[in-house]
Amino acid sequence: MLDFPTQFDTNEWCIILLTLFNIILFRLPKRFPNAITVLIILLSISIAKTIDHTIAVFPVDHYDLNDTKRYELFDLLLYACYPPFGYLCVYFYIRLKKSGLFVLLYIIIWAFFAVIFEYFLVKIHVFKYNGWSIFYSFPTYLIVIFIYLIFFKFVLNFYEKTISREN
Amino acid sequence: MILSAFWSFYIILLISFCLYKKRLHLFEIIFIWMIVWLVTHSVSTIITINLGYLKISEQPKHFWLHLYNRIILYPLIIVWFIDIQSRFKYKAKIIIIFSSIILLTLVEYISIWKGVLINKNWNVWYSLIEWIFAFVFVYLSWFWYRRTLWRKDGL
Repeated sequence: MLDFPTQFDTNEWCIILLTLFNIILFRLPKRFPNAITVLIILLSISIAKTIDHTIAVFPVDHYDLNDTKRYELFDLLLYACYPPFGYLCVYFYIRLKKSGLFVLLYIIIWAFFAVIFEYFLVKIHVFKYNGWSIFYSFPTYLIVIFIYLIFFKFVLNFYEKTISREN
Repeated sequence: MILSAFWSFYIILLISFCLYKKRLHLFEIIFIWMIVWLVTHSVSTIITINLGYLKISEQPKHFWLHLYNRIILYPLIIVWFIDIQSRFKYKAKIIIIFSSIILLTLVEYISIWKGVLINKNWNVWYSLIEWIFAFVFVYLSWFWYRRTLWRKDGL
């Protein structure tokens, strides 16, 4: 059902390395409650997956993932590479403890980082554009990172309220 | 016309779900919703692209309907039925879960009937297998998350 790569080259190795990085990252001491960490991981994967399975498939087909237009094993593995992005984004946001315009700056910096990283993934053929442009990615990342932060603040507040109500 | 009819239906369902007194914790609902996204997107792509048993219509309104089904309708049905079954025991649980699988299959067939999905080599048994797999996967994941939420985080 899931295709194997036609050629095992740079894009597959990159996905394997990113997956290993993911495993190492989540072995580090936890900063958030498990229930919230799971939701952040899921949000990171599900936003990427929803976008990919909407605009990268027929009939829209703005870009392809990996070697072919079909759904490959490494397309699936690629989603294991997204959680560090979402997790580190909210992790540093909490560590920096800033608010106001700084948050906007923080979102812009992360969006720039994401675009640069996407450019690297395009160069090693993880993404192949068929009408998409890296310039469209920047506003997309701005929205996605904003959603991460809003979602994180919401679940954290809800969690703290629930805990304080029960104590 | 078809798009606005479906939209009205989704909105009525969403409002009903918001008003309905739920047993699941908000985090469990969010968790199930996102797991359903992950499963249905993957399964849909495998069926439409890799296996070619179904084809998504090229008409924009049908494309959007298929997307709304995956983003709103399927997660809503599964969350609702998981919530309902959590009020009952054993036999009733199985009947409720089986009803949800039948309902999901029915929704998929309505999509085929309305032309949102084009039948290439699909049959009702494939549909049942698809939704049994999806529901069991989501149910087991929810069970694991519930344990994390209540036991480890002490909510």
